[in-house]
Amino acid sequence: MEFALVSVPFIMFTLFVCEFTYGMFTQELLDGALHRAIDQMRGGYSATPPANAAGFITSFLCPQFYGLLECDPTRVFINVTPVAQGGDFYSVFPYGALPVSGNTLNLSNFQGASAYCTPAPEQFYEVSAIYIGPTFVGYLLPNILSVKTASGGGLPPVVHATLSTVGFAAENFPQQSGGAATCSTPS
Amino acid sequence: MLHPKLAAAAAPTGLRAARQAIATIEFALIAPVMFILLSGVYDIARVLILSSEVNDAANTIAITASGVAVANADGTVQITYSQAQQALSLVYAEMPWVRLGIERGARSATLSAVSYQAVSGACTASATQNCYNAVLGFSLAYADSVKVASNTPGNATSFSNSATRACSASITQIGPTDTYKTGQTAMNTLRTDNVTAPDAIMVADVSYTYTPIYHFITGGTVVLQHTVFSPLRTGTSAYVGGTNAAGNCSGNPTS
Repeated sequence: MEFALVSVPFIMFTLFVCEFTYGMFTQELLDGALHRAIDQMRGGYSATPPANAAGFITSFLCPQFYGLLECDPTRVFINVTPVAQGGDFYSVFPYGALPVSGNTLNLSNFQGASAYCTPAPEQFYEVSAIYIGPTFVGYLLPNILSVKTASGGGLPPVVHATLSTVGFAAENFPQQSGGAATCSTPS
Repeated sequence: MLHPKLAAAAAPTGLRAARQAIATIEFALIAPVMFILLSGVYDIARVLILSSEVNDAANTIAITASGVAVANADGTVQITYSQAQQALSLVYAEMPWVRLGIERGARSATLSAVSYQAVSGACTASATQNCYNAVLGFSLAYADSVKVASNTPGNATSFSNSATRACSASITQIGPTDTYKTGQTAMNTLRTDNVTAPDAIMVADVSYTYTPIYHFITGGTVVLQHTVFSPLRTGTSAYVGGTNAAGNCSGNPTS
């Protein structure tokens, strides 16, 4: 009887701690990995730039996780947004929050060819990354510790999503040929 | 219907009722401790992540501003107000929860420029002879009050009230701008001795005041502050390009 009384809240508590610490762990790893990965964007790729977002994730972002998180283009999504000269990063998508539409994670800006481009010299950019991980008590606390995903995307229906954003100004580097199209310069 | 003996066994006796009451009391004793432990974990984790974000923001602002600014022939720094504000706005890219309005503590973001002016007359730099004076060119706060007021309802806090560095004809140290550290030892000392034609530097100060959940126990707020300076590098390239087409490295220095 005593165990029956205590076990449910205790297990909930344990799972909540797991969910929370996993979120913090993922956030810290993603922040650090993204900062290190965009160094090549900031200073110019030392070899042929990646052809798309998947190439960037596989070759530049994932190695920065040091194997501590499972990482591939089906779990990590990135978006490269050019920022106009004199613009303000306060007004740049995704505005510091996970892109959620109707209680569902909206990855439309993080998928397809438009999500990624090769930065041009002396331009401003914001790079956002979303990491999709498992949720522990997310089914019980939707939209607090977890978020729903759109059906048909190959993702679990409820996930733990982590967002990280980095802004930078690209250096005055000589551009390499090849790779994804150069980002357009916003007016 | 239960057998009378089973019914008698199932009925709460005085001993069983007492044990249930003890279990309830035990849980009632433990639950607050568990909750406090959980919120303590949250507090520590948040302050660590915010500290990391403050460091990242100061680094990014300083590196970006020093890449955008141009060094004039007299050693002073040339950067437009718009460019400086854009560099300062990177703080929102680095601190998403502040951008989102979840974290609403007092904050500051300041960009300053320090240039070196040669002392008058002939001078030979040595360990004891300073041939340059470090001079503060400007110190700007991030002017985000309009955006914050119009786009984030209820979030009245902005970076616009950031403390700026006091103008000085000659400075020797790059310390924090926040008043809470006034009187403490500056973090970095500007070397003006034994240097020849030093580059101007951009200095970024970012701070954020985090209020823990149990601030009445911990003794107040936690001020996270980071100062970064970076020399101008206009005209230089960070590109580290590979070998030439033939791959024989003939373009590399030979000695």
